[in-house]
Amino acid sequence: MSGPKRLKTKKLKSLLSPLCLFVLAALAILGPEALGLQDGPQAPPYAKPDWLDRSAAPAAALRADAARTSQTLDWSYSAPLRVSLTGRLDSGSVLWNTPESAFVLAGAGAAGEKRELDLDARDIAFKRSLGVSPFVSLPSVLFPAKGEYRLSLTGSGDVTLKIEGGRWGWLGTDQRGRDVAALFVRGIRVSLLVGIAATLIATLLGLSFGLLSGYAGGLTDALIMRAVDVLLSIPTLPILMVAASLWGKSLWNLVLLLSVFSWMGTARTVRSMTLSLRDAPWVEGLRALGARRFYILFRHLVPEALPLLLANVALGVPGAILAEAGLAFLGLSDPRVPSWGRMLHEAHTFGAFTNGAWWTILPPGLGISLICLTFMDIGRKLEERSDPRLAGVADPCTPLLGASPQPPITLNPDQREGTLSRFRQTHNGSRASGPGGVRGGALKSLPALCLSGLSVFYRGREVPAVRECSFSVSKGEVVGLVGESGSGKTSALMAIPRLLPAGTLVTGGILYVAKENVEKETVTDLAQLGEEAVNGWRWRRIALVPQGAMNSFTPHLTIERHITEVLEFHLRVTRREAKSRAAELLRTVGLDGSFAARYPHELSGGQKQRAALAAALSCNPDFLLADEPTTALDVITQKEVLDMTVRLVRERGMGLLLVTHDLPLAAGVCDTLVVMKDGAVTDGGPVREVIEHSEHPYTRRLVRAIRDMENLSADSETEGGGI
Amino acid sequence: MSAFLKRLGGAVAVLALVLALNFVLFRIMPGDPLTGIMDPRFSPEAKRQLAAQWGLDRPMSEQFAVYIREMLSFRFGLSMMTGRPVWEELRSRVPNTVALLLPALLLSAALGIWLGVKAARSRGSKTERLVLLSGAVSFSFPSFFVQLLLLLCFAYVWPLFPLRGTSSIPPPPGAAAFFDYLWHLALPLFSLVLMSFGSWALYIRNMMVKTLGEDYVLMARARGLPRRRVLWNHAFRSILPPVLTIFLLSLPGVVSGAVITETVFSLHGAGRFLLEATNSHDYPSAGAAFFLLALLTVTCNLLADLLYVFVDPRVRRGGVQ
Repeated sequence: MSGPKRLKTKKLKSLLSPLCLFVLAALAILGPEALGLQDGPQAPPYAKPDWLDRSAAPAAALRADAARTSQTLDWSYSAPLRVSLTGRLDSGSVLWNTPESAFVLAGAGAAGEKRELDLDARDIAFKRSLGVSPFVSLPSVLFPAKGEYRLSLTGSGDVTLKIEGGRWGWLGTDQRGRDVAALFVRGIRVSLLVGIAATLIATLLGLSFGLLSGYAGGLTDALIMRAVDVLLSIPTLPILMVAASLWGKSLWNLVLLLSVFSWMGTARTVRSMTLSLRDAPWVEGLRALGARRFYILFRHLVPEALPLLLANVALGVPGAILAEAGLAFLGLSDPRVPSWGRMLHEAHTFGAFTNGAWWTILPPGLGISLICLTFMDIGRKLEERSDPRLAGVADPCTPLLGASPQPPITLNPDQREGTLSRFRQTHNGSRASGPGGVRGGALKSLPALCLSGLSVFYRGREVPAVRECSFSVSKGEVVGLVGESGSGKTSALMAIPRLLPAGTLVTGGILYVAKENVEKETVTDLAQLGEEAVNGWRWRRIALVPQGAMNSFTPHLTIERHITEVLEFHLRVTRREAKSRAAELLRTVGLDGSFAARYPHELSGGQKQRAALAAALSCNPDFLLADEPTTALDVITQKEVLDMTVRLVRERGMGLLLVTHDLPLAAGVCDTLVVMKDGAVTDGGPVREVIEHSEHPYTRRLVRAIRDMENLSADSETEGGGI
Repeated sequence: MSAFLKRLGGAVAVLALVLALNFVLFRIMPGDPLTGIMDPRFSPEAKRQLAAQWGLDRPMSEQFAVYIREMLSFRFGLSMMTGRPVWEELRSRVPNTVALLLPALLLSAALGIWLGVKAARSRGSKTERLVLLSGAVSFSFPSFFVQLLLLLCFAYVWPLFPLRGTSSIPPPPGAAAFFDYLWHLALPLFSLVLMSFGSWALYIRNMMVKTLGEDYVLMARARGLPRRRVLWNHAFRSILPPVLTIFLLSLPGVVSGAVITETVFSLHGAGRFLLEATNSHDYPSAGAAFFLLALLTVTCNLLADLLYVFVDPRVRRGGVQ
């Protein structure tokens, strides 16, 4: 589908439910009369819809009077269900010609006096006057075959022959012969009325209780919220059943009852909204200006809550409609008021099933569903309008867990070899130059991680977060990836274990070069591995120490379990062995045995960071990727944790990629620096060279900033010493 | 613990309130229970005698004392509808209702959870569209309509299942009776699951979508754990406390479903008994049914509180931080 066309259908779709509501409301107001439909019995019970069975007899009426003494009818159906003759006969007789024979249906009285006719084919007297056995169905005698029939009048009068067939109207008839279409249109009125009225009252109740509760606080609040809890936890239908039989089944009682049992949700929403607004700065400002409490409530809080309330009304209507229908279905509604629930009740009670009369079941049921769907749709749209964040949820996103939808643009084997040879040519310590050249550490020892021309495009954004970025980390090397916030350093880091959000386009190569033996090297491009395959590299070779570590532990698992889980899964050790290793790891990072059984929420930030480090070391990976590991900590803990991280990495001969915005911090612990700005690597090399000899203007500015700070602290120290 | 005792006290208070309301409400209802069981041609004498027989002529305080005794001993007195002890009436019906509702609730929750998690995992997939659709259906289609349709299709047009009843009349002998019972239960059970799995799935999907965006899920993936483990042991397990709460709190609510379902399928169950008792002013029966309903509600609330503490370590062991 092309773009504009899709937009057009989307627009049409959004108009569908208001249109639907409009039509329903119009029908409810106009009533069945507007469509020429009549209440009351019209045809035999359970007559089929007109269009359903063309061979069944339709309803018809033949009339003969002084002006037109005969009328003919072309009949090509089976016999009708009922036939009746009504009218006035002044003289002569009424003749009925069938293709096979002729009947005298009625004759004037013996003395020739006028006669009022009201003859039904079920009358035994009528049957006998025609010479038919009382046990034979008269309609089948009067309509023996297909052909032309004629009703004629000899003499004067005005008679009508009414033929009631097995089909009637658009939707047939119910058990009393009432037109289902007329009942259906009547039902709209009840559903809309009950649904909207009950929800409006409930919303008003909820609004007042919510405002009162939120604004008054204290005992009032406690009492109202307790009532809300109790009302919410009791099953509504049984209560409504009792209440309906207690106070009578009239429509308005029902509306009141429904609203009394459905204001709680709104009250809760309004209360929490009021609470959050009550202490908002602008409300406090109003109070400081001397505004009265009720003025603030109604002039400022209510308009604020209005869009949400409107959505609440629309979303509450289906509940009220369904409750009304449910009660009516159970027979707890006014029998004089035709509603959809009542129609279903009657269909169920009066044997629609034994007659197979599905047309008495489908229209009311579909009607209820349609009206509820309409209101749900409108409610959701209003909700989205009042809170645009919700709109995003409806947008079908790509899988959260899983491969990206587009195939990444990857390196072919030739390109890969070319990149690697460039990495090899830049020897230890020497800095490469030129655009796209390899920056940072060259391959010093194996295994090594080489990012080659890595670019990251987030979904829906034109500018890449990481642009053509190349650098490498070797075993035993500590590389600092520095840059200001938003420079793309975290994106580059998260791209390595393929943990960027789904739908992100990653191009370029993430090469993992390992040495199997003296001669043989293996190169794996992580960018080309599937989700399951990457799992073999994650944690066992490349472990992650997360940013801040605040929310990086699963809240319901103990600290120990986070470590034993990966040990059991990756290294296939027994639970007991895993536990002892976990304890040892925790000891290594300075956490004693009591921490093992603790839950994440029971640890401080520094403790969590240490635990995260212990977890990262658990499978003895080749590389540690640390993303601002110390940002959330105080300065002293920061130094401790960072020193420990670097010490443990060096002890174990791992490679460390340390992402930080703190250049002095990185300069203090790293071997190599890579500087990023606006998604691209701008500079890099051994720490000393970058700090002292860099010619890149951005790096120089960064370095100058540190120098200034150092001078400042040195000055303040000397000043302090002087006093 | 003291918080729990407080809750327990509150629950007992609610039950006492329900007991009192039960007594008052049914007695101020318009309509006289005696007219239901009595021929209008009865003499006033006979009417008095009948009232005496049911104890309706005693002073209210005495009636109340008898009522409380009967309720608390779970005997509930005699049903005015059938003249048999209410306890016996309930004993023959409650198992049918439980046999219908419990599997229905468990099945729909299980199906809903499975689909909801699947939908959250692969957003924009067919599964997610199915979940959104079934959620909308379960919130906007009346259950009795869907049940009537099922009856029409699978009992009338294509008679695979019985049109009505809990068992065939007369019931087949031996083990066949059990299968006959299951055969009668199948369609009601299916309809209940069909109508309620959607709301579960939608609810679980919304919660899972939020949870899957959490840092700890990303970290679980970073640890190289298999997808299934991340999804269930980390993400789903962390939303388990609210899910369990909702499950328990929805238990009393499904009784409403029982009233309708048992009416549609003409089942011999407690829900329809409640409806009939209410309609015929059978004080003891309706009172008993409501008391049991309140007991169920209060128990589920308490159980939800207890379980929440049990499954969420942050509530169980709060505060060290």
